[in-house]
Amino acid sequence: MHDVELVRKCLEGDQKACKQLYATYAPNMLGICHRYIAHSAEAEDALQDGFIKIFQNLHRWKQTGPLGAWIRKIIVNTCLTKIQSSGPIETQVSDDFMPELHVDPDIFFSLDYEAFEAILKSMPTGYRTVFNLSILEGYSYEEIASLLNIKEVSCRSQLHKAKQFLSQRIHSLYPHLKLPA
Amino acid sequence: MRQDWIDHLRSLSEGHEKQVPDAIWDQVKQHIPRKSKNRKWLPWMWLMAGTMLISGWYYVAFIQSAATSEKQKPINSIQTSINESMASNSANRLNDANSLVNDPKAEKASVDLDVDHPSRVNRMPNSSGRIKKNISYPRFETGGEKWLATQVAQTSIERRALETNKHLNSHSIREADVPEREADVPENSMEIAHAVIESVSNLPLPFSLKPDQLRSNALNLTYKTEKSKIDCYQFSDSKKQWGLEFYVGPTYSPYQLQDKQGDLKNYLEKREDTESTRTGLTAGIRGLYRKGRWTAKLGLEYHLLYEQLHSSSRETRIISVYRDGKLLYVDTLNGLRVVKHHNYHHLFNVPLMLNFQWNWKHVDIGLQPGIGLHVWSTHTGKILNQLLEPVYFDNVGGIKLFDHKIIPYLSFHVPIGGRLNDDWSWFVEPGIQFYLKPFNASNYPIDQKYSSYQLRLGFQKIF
Repeated sequence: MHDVELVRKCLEGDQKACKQLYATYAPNMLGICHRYIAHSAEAEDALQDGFIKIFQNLHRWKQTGPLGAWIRKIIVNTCLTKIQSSGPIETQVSDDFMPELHVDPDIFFSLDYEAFEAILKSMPTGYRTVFNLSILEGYSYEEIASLLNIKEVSCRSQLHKAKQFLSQRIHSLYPHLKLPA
Repeated sequence: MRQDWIDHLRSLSEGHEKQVPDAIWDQVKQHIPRKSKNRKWLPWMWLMAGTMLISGWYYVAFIQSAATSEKQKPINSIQTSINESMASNSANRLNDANSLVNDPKAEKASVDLDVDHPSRVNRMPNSSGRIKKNISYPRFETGGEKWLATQVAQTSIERRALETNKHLNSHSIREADVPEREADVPENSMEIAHAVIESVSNLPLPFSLKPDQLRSNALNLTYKTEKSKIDCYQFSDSKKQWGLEFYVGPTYSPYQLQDKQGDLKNYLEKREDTESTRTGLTAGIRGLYRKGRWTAKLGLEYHLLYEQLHSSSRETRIISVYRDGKLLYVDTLNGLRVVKHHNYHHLFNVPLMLNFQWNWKHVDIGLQPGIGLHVWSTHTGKILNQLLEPVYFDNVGGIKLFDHKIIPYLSFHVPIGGRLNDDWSWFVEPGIQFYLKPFNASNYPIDQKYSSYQLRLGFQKIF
């Protein structure tokens, strides 16, 4: 069923259509929640809250854009609210937390998804959030700063450190991979 | 090269699905709205309400007043005939009255009131089928009293004729009605009037209501027009009036913050510590429709809510210095940050009130419960976000704090006022107003509910 038709039926209160919309998008969105929120139960909570918002605001979806992108945006925003509600995002991590490393982008090609998700979950919240928004969602520093209410310069710093963290973890998880000199 | 690894990570994470527990759907489906929030009926409802309001006003202003004037026409005509009769005979009657009232032997006199109408109830029918009513009253002595008596008698007779005519029109009269109507006339006036009638009882009084007399309007002295402001003959409290009220005054509008999720206690306390309510303003205009002691009021109201954000906190800033795209160093700055900001909420409301008023000597006091709708608003200002940084209302954690909402409210005021002249009055109106729903957007985790203590000062114009 086409998205427009599906949404129209959902708005009419058709429970089957609602279930179909949920079944279509929920698994993918749960994957996104897990990338933002380390704790599984909290990620599922975010998915639940996000879909409640989606169904309550479905009449606001403008058919000019794809439904999946609209749903994804709401889910990401819900994850951010969830992260912020659990406390302020740490934008400072002591420099001795990890060594200063040069990041070679080639190292990322050696990752599979499970390993990547595991590393993401082990990141500090600030790193993980900025990394997700910048690298995976494609937001600019300005947009991230606005979304998280932090300074733009902090975004840059967080992303830089997130990449360092990622390369360091890849090295520790897969010692057979050679880090560039 | 950079774009390659980013694309790789995106493609790695894209489309990756997780097994979703069934319990989540069970929770979600409980919050799915049964029907869409289709508000297409709302303009129609407003249109219908407006039509009803205008129809009601038209009915009261034109149709009912036209009906009233139709009813008054025969009354005026009858009065005219009476006046004419009185005028034509007044000289003779008074001359004769002089001789009669000076007669010490005359203790009382009687007068016959004859009305030539077949449907009238006969209290004492005579042989000709006419009504004969005998009334006995004492008389009076001086010349000044005689003149006064003539005037009052004229008024009393007019009034009796009016009442008589009401009976003629209604074709249904009850026995019990008669004493009630007589009681409406002040006792002295009745006595004086009947004394004069008594004094002229021997004179030929053309009191029968004939059509040619009814058409005459030569001496229509009192009920000249239906719009006459002389309402001393309107023995009713249910006088209907239209008017306008203008008011302005200070308000104090505290608000209550409520954590919806229950896990933001610290943030909520921080907001309460840093925000304070200040004196605001209200102003409005409203139309009123008054019937007796009851007044319905409908209008448009502006309400300004005013608050201040005042916070000071130690802040640490990290400054990263880059050169040629490479990070040179990161510096940390510590300091005290003081923030003061004025927050304004401009609200537009549609109030509907019902006022019950007591009229004392110089002051009117009322009780005025009401309902209303907050229909539109703008909000400018800052609050602390969850990172305890001051942010604008437009972007608090990625969401807009306040949204355009229609919010019902309840109000209760005690208007106290007095008259300035026939048309204008002043009033002071202390009261309270409760907004029943929070003003903030539904996806903000804290509810912000307002109540308002008000003192309105205004003027009322009655048309």
